[in-house]
Amino acid sequence: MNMAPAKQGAVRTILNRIVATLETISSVVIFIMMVLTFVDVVGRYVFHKPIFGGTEIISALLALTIFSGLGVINARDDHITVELFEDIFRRTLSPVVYEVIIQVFSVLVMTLIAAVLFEHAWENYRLDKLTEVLEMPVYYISGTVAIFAVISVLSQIAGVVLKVFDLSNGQRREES
Amino acid sequence: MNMRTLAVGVFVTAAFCAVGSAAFAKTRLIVNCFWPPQHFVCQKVLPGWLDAVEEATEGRVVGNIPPKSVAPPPEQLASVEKGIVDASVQFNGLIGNRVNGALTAMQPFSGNMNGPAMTQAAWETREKFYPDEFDTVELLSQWVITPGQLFSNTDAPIVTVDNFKSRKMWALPGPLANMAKDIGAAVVATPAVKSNEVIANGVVDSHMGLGGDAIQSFQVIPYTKSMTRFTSPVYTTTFSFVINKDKWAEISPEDREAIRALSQEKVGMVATGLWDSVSADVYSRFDDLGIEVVDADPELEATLIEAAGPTTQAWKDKAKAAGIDADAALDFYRARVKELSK
Repeated sequence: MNMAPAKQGAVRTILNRIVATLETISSVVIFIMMVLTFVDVVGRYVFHKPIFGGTEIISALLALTIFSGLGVINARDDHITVELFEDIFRRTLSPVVYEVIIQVFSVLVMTLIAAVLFEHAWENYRLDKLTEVLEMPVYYISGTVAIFAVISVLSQIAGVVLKVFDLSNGQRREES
Repeated sequence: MNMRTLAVGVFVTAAFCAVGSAAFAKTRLIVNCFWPPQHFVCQKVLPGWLDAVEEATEGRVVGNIPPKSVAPPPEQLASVEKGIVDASVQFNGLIGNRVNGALTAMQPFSGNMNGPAMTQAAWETREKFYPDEFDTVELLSQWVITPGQLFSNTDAPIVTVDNFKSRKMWALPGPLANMAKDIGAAVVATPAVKSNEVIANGVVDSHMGLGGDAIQSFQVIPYTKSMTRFTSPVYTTTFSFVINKDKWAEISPEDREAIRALSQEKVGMVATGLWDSVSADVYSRFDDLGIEVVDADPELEATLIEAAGPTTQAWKDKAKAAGIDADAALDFYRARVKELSK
């Protein structure tokens, strides 16, 4: 990896900003979910006025939380991993090649997920699908989720580039 | 063996295979069932239709039902359009943005307790007013099921408007949830399949929209103490059985005609009959289950009818915009239900 230090710095800065933005969005959405649940329960039991469609809104917010959080997890490569064949590959491949293979596969899978989510959102828009209770357009949610999935792929790619660069730098230092 | 003999041999073999495979060519249908596998639609209705289709087409059209639904309830029509499955049942309340006529029988206070009469009336209304409404798939059958009811989960039954207003109530999304909210109940609306978690956990103290079969299927009988009876049931739901257009085109015209001729009888009428009998069985056990049946105060029924007005008007406006004579269709449906129920 011969990426110039200035470019590495730029990628790192952009990635950090994306992660910070996604973390803020996740936090805000979780906070809204908490407030909604609280108001819904108090409204139902104390004032006899629950939030109509509260369950549906919370379900939609949950989808946004998951996909905004996914970008953060992808950028930090913080996924839960199951190391079934770890030893075999580690013995035969260099750390950089090993990491590249795994991360490229992950990026491809995540890209496929993003593409399917976009297709789903487009179909919801084309058919004008509405939610069951509030009858709001489903593509508001599925479209936002698809956009988060794309951001997630981009942050994953940036994370992979930086990780591979760090690994190859480390390898070079060990060799010298 | 010279080349000419070889070529003739290959040609004869290929021709024989082609004729043989054509003679035994079968169209295999994948029919999805979104209810739980043990539900009678998956166990009796759809397998019965497949048997009848196989018999009527002398084995040229066969099919099978996946052990588990390949799509959630709102996506049944889309899964048939995309060809993920060849045929499936769609709850019409979930495709209200795509069809209007199919919702005629779902207008509040239009039905009664006679499923076959409602189903026959709905089928006739479709043929008369909106025969080609499903244009992306082939519609084979439609049916109307036993009405959803109003239940109390406390020892106090719901009889008056004040009783109704004071309740925390699970309601089926759509007209029922909107009506209950407008009257003043504290409404929690979720899809029917999620009614159990709301009712069983004590989030609400009443529920509206489940029929006899549903309170059994969704296991809410233990939390139900009384049922409020109206002179005209509040709300009925309808389903459509559809098949993929490309798959339909694969079937010969004679076999298509045979399948079309038997489907309403073998799917719609069988399904509604089973719904009626299961519901009747549950209602007949109410004494043993400790569920009281009370009559609604006329004022409560009048209030619900009034609350249903905007819902029905909104449907009429939408249906008229789609070119359906909604007033005439609804009047015709209600009149036919009464005639067929005599």
